Amino acid sequence: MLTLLSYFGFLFAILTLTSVLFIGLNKIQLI
Amino acid sequence: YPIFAQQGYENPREATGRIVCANCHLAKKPVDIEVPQSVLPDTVFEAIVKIPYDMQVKQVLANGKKGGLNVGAVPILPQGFELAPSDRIPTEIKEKIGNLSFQNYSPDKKNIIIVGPVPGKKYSEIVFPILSPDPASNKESNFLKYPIYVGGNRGRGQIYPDGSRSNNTVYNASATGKVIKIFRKEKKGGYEITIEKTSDGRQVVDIVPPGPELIISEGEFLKVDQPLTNNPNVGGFGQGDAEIVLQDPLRIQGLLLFFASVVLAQIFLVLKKKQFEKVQLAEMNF
Repeated sequence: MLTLLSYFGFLFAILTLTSVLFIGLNKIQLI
Repeated sequence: YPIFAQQGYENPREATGRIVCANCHLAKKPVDIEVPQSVLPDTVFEAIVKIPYDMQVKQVLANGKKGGLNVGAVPILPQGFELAPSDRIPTEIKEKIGNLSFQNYSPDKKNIIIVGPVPGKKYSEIVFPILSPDPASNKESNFLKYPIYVGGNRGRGQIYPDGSRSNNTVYNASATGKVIKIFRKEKKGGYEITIEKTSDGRQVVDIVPPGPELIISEGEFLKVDQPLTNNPNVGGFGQGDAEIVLQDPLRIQGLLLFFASVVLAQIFLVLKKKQFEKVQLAEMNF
């Protein structure tokens, strides 16, 4: 259970981080 | 009984890998062990030993009557692993254990645990609470992959440690000849079979204790070692092994940190490329 939870938690964290960076940097026209 | 092994052998696992229970429990039946793939140091975990058999069958008891089967098991853990002290066992594992009482094989072999004989109907799955060692405090243990061996038995044995047969096995003719008399003992049960040898005409008496059933009759001609009885044994012994990793928590944390750094590096590479594409578009010199 802990293994599954940490795996999907990790995936979710990466997804959030990626989209935040992509959208945020796009907004300030850095990329 | 485990006590026979404890009295007769210093180490229940012979150099060949055979567990000594097999010296008396001659039939082979399956046994299974489930352990976690890896454990952290100084942690209580459960090892489940499964001793499957048909719950409907009955075995021959010492007095010749029929009764339920008993089971027993002996997990041989790696050096340093031992039975968890009762104050450290979580309640959920305690519930699974039931009323079993575990015993160390000997005072200096705390890594070998024995249990049994216990009624098989209730305990065909035995849960062992095990405490992993801490290499920080116990210098003999290391963060490694270790083998765990297990032996599991159901039913009575066929021979006693002194070499005599139990009544849970086949009895054979001791001579070649003709069966001239079968005497059935009334009180306790069992038979006395008188055979007249073909070679010299002398008579020998084979005694069959109560339990096994005769498959011969008077007047029949027998060869030496021909079975006189059926095989009443329904149980058997089996052994298996499993592997367990004693895992350093620092290694897992390091691995996760490395994964995070790889992911970050990938994201930043993509972002850098995006940024560079923007510069290219602005300069229009490709």
